[in-house]
Order: sequence, then C-alpha cells, then structure tokens
Amino acid sequence: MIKKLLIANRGEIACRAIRACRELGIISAVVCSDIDLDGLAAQLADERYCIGSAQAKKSYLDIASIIATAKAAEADAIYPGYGFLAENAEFAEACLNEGLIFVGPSPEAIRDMGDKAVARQTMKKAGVPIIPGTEDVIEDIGQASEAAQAIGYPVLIKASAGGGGKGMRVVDRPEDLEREIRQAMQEAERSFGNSGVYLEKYLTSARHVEIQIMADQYGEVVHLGERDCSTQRRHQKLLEESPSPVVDENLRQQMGKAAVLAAKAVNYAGAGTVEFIVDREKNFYFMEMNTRIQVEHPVTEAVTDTDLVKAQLLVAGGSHLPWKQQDIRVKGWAIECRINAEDYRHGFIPCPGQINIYRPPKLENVRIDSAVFENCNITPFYDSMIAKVIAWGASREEAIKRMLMALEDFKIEGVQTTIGLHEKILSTEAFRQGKIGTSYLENHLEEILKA
Amino acid sequence: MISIEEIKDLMKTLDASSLQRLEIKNGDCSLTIEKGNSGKAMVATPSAQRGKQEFRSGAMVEIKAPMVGTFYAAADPEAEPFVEVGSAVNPDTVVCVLEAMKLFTEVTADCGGEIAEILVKNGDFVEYGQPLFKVKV
Amino acid sequence: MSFKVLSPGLMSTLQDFGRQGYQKEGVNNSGAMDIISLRLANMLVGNDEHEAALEITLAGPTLEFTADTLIAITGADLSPMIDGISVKMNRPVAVVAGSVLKFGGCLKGCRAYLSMAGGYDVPMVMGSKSTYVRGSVGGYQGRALAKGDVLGSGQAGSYARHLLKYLLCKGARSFRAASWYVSLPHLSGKEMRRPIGILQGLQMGAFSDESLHDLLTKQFTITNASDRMGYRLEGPRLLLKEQLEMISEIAVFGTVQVPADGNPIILMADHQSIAGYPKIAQVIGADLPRLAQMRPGTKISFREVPLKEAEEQLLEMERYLSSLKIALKHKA
Repeated sequence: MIKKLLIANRGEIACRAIRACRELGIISAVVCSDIDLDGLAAQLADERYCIGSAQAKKSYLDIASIIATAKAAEADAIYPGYGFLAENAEFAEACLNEGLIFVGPSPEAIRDMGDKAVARQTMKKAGVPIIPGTEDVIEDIGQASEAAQAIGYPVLIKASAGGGGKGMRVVDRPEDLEREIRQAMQEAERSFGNSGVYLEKYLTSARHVEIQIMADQYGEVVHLGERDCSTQRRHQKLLEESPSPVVDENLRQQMGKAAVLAAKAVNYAGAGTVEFIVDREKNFYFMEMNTRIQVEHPVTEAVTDTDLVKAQLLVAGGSHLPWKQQDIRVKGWAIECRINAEDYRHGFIPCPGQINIYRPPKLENVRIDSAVFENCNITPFYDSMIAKVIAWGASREEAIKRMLMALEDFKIEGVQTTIGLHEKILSTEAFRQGKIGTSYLENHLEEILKA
Repeated sequence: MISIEEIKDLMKTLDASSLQRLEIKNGDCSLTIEKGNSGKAMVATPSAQRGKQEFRSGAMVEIKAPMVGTFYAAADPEAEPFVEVGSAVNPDTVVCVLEAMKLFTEVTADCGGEIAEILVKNGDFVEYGQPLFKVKV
Repeated sequence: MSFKVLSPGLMSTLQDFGRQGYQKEGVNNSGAMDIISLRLANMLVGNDEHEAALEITLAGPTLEFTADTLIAITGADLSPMIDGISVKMNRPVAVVAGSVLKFGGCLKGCRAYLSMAGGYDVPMVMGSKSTYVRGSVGGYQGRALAKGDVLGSGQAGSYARHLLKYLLCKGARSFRAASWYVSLPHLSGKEMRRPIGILQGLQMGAFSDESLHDLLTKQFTITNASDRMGYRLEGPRLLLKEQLEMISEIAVFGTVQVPADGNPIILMADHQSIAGYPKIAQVIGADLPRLAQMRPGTKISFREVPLKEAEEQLLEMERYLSSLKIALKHKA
C-alpha cells in the first residue's frame, strides 16, 4: 500500500488525486509551478513543493525536478494524472530506476501503445479488430498511394507518435495524397519529434466509443463499460456520456472483451481506456489506447458506482482489483460537459482571466470536478478548463434534463465560458435522439449557435 | 525565458482578439505585446530572467534557487566550498550547485557584493525560488 | 564539428564499446578502458552511448578546432585548457572555431575522454570504431593520433545543435561551458582507494592456500609495464600448488592471470583473445572503470565479492546511467 504520493500534476486532476489520498489515508504531496502556489491543489495537499516557473517545461514537464522532489519528500509513488508526463515512457522508466512506484502501466506498455502504428499491429496479433489501414509507417509515397486505393477514400493520415486527436489529416482525393503525406510528416517531426505516419480508412458518421479498463499487477483486467465521446470539435472532446446510445448489452460485452484482450496483450496494469470507432453497422474497430486515467473518468464512476482513482492507487500499491467483472453493472445514464474558458462564438479562443463570480450548481446527482474558486486566475500557461459537470439520471432524458438545470444554475463571471454551447448542443434534436457522430458538431456548429 | 513558439502563439491570440495590449510578468521576466496602429502585433524585448540587476549600494539582496534540488556548497564532497560568509561575489561567481537526479547545476550570484549570510545547509532540499544566500551589495 | 591535431599527446586513440562478437575468430575486443566515462561523454553531447570518443592517456594532445564544436571531457582530470583558460569537465562545452584545446598536468586518474557531438567520422571496422594499435585496426587509420590529423564529426542530433547555438548565442571568445555537469563517482578519492572486487578465477583452486591468502590481504603495485593490453602487478608472488598443464582458453577484460614468475597480470581492453596462463581471479565489471583510471605506481588490493553483489553493483551503475540519460535529455 502506498504511504505517500507525490502528485505530478495540477488543477482538477491533482485535486481529484488528493481526495482519493485522503480517503485511503495516503499522505499527499503536490508539485506546483510558482503561479500555482495559491491554486486549490497546493492548498489542499498535505505538502506542496514549488518546482519551477509557470511554463510547463520548466515545471510540470521537468522530469529531473519532479523525481528529485519525490525523493526529497520521501514519497513512495508518483501520480502523473493525465497530460504532462502521464504517457511519457521515459518518465515512467526514470521513476522505476529511482525505486518509485509509477501509478500507471509499465514503460513498455506505454511505449507499445504510444506508437500508434505498433499498437495497431499488436492489436491485430491479439485478435482485436483494427480499422483497415497500412501495416506500418509509410516508407514509400508510391506504396502509400496503392495502400490508399486499397483502403478506399477518404483516408486519414495519422502520426504514429501522435494521439489525443493531434497529428491527423483527412485526404478526400487521390491527387492530394502525396502533398498531405509530406506535410503530415513534417508536422509530426515538429510536434512529436517523430515523422512516422500511417494511413487509416476515415469513417465518417462514426461514433467514438471508448471502454474503460482497470488492471492489477496480477494479470486481472476488468472493463467498466463504455463512454461515447462523439461530440467533438477538431478531434477534441467536449461532452461525454455513458452508456452510449448505440451500444446494446451484446455490443458492450463484445467491445469489453476486446478491450480486455487489448490490455492483456501489453501486460497492462492500472487504469486505461481503449478507444474504438463504431460505424453505422455497429462494427467496431480499435483506434488507440490511452495509457492513463482520462479527463472523463467521472462519467464511468457515476454509472458503475466505482472510484477509479482510488482503484489506481490500490493496484499501484500491489492490491488486487477491488471488483470482479460480474460486480460491474451499468446503472442509469451519466453525461459530462467540459466547461472551458473559451469564446465558442469566436473560434474557441482561450479567454484567460480572473473569475470574479463562481457559483457552481448544487443539485442532487450533479457532480462538479474543478480546481477553480472565486477570484482565482485562469492563466494562459495551461489548459483552459474551468470545471467538469457530471449529471446522472435514471434515464438519458433525465440525465439531459439534470445537466441543463445544472448549466442554467452555473454562474461564472470574469471569463467567457462554453456553458452556452453545451446548453445549445444538449437542446438539439440530434443530440436528444442520440444521433451525434464525430463529424456532427463541426458540420453543424454554425446552425447550433444560431438556434 | 518565454520561447519563440510561445511568443508566436501569444501574438496570434492577441491579433485575433479585441485586446490592444498583453502584459505578462513571470518572476524576473516580463513580456509586453502591443498592437501597433497598423493593427499588427509588435513585440517588446523580454528582459533576461535573473539577469544582472542594479541595486543601491549597501542593500541586502537574496540569491534565490533557480530550480528545485539538493543544495551543495562545493563542487564535490572533496572540494572547498564555492563561497563563505564574507566572500566577494560578482554576477558570474558560482555560489553553489543544485542537484536533481544526479545532474548538478551551478548557480551564479547574478549580483555583485559580499556574502552576508548562507541560508541553507549542505544537503538541504530547496524549492524553486527559495532564498539561498543574502548578499550585501 | 571538427579539429586538427597540433600535437598528439602520449597516446590518443578513438575508442567505443569495442569489436564485440569476434573474439572467437581471434579478433581482440579493444574498446574504451573506462566505459563509464565514455558513455557519459557521449550522453553529455547527445550522442548514442556507443559512439566513439577520443581516449586520452596521461599527457593530452593539442587540438585546434576548425569549426564551432560541442564537446565534453570526462574521465581523468588532465587539466584541460582552451586558449589558456581552464575548462570545466563533465559537462557540454561549446568551442568556437579557431580555439585551441591543450592539456596540462595529470591531477586525477589516468585516461580522459573527449566526445564530439555527432561522433567521430571514421569508418566502422567489424562494427566498431575502436583502435587496436598493435594490429593497425580501426579508429583513425588504425593508429594513435599524429600531428596534422584532422577529425570531423558525423551529423549531430538536434539536441546538440540547439545546445551549441544556445551556449554560443551570447557571444564567446573561445568557449562557453554549460552550467550543469555530471559527477563521476568512481573517480573520487574514496572510490579510488577502495579494494578492487574480484570473483573466483577459473583456475583459482590450483593456487596454494598461502597465495590465495596473499591475494586477498596484501597490496600489489601497478608497474610501469602496464598498458591497454594489461596491467603487470608487482607484489607477493602467487604460486600454484603444482604444475598445471593448460590449454589456452577464454580471457576477458579484467581476467587476472598469473604467468610462471608469479606476478599477476590484469588483462585490460586490448587483451588477447585467448590466454594460456592460469586465471586466479576476475575483476568485477563494476570495478573495471576505476581500475582503468589507476596510474602505474598505484597500490591496489583485492576483495572477493559474491556474484550477487557483483551483479547488483553493475545493475546499480546501469540504473544510475539510465536515470542520468533521462535527466540530461530533458535539461532545458
């Protein structure tokens, strides 16, 4: 069992980890940049250490500083959260070298799933269905042309070292392929330090459905049902729900089984999410695996009545999984809206600033995960998230109704927020009917805003 | 120091917004971006972080830790300490090293004067921004 | 990145991890005497650890840099100076074209390593850039450096190119060293005085009880007849219980063999591929780097170490290097 945890993150996920520590009797220590010294996480943690200046690479991405702090604080484990170093295999390796528990999977599992081209091959071998695409990264443009013909246009060029929706380009016409591949490779080199790209069939009107899994260090893996994250803009999620409107119990079992196979194929340990794409015919294909806890984990917690972060800490400390597969039941419906400090009417420009009024809703079955408080500052150095609102209902209609009530009650002043956008999306006919695919929001944004 | 990529992003953001001027202060580093009359953003020179500072003679100045790590008064266990109380320092004088993951980083005084007080002990773990020495300028 | 040799020093050769896998064909491994210093020198300039570096022995060369170059000097402290100014070791150093690197007195250790970002551009011979001088194989034309030689580098990685630019951007006359450095624990006074760890040699049992006792309790001096091939030791003579008929067999870096005169020889990096003398001991891998830094005249003693401890020391060294590599890579 972990005795002291160093949290190498900030904001709401750091606060979330501190809460789990308090429930488990683990001493919490958090690292922070100088501008986060008066942030909520720094105030809530048992210990806080200022490790660098505001820029992420001088603080939250500084491996040596974080590990040195963990050792000086005599922590026995490090919690990476999501983003920053959460999927950095070298960081995980450095932790292990220094005798620290990394709350997450092994460096090998991170690497295997981090390289998207390798992940596809691993899944293929494990018998998990993958999206039709190239076997490996593109070496030869001529070959790529042939492969694209075989896959069928439109095709998606994906960066092997990318992820989280970054480093992707759609190609509709064969004559654009060569140019797009060259540009994608350059972009990939710049953004990820690795120019490898591969091709996948681009499935339009598909749904992004991901399965939450949890594995212990003894080879036991369970899945906790799906989350539908099809409401996206530029491959970034805005809203998530569980269960998915297009997944019935049978499909859930199949996808859950595939997700567990995927996790076992890389000897996974800890929390993870296997992302699938589901087409109109209810065929599902592996997209990628996220080897970390995700932003939208509360949605799964709400419908399965579990605490995923506590489970992460327990399995990292050597405990067996707190549940068996048959213990996991999906009950009711949950929706999460990510409220960001962005001006959705003008290109989603981030709007950092001071939050003068912050009054979250106080409703039954509505959960708010946030690190924000009145008069705190949203800075331009980190993401623009203000809060996650999670509403649960006995049915999807009830969940939607509760979410709308919560958004109506949520009073935030001082910065622009995306509350209004979520209210509009939830009120559309398409959303109410559960018919939103991954391209829906981009194609209909203008008309949604006008409504 | 804010990087060129970050400055470019800030310029783009400012350009697209209705704001005229953006000022960011981060410790000793400050950056001002202002839209000129032509409507294009101009960039002012950022001051160097922990650059050479001008002080009134006789004032007490603190040398703060530029990173997190373990404080060592000497280059290695068998060497003499870099400075002692009373040692004269100039901006380039190495006053101590901070170690993180077995990597040692030299800390320079960044001011001129005489070491008045050493605020930490050999082997102490120090945070970013923690005062290490008091220097009489 | 490149330099010209103005004067070669005592013995400066290019060495890397050595020619591995050919010993059974009678080809020596060669390779760096102090592998830790080599690996660190490479890491500091963003090279692959297996890249070659210039192994400099006791009296160093005088080198004129013919292009802006990122280097690192690790290992022995041979008082390096660039244009007369002392240059700090164990860290990346950006050298301005036209500057001259010289070495002075030997203050600590025996062999220094000079790495260049991008590695040294010499051909690989049997998978290695190491020099085996006796056989005129590999490295720079199969020999130690000589006056007039010009050495260039391969393509330096982006880390090194950015670091070079950053260090030189505020303007430097001759060079600018980074403000961060690594420490080489095996070169500290305390470490150098520790007994050398050994495992039992293949023919240890053939030696007399008295000799075995002497091996583990008495001191031996590294004589002047010591070089990259082997360290000849002087001290109590180590004698066999009785004459031994031996067929030559495997010998590796660190094997302690004893010829008829009873004076042991520790086989070093350029050791022969097989040895015919009885092997009384094997120096543990973790102690070879510091042994390589001991000069002729140094007195050493031996300590038998259980295999598990020997392995643990090696693993600890690997963990240390692995962590350091990550820390260096991310040093902003």
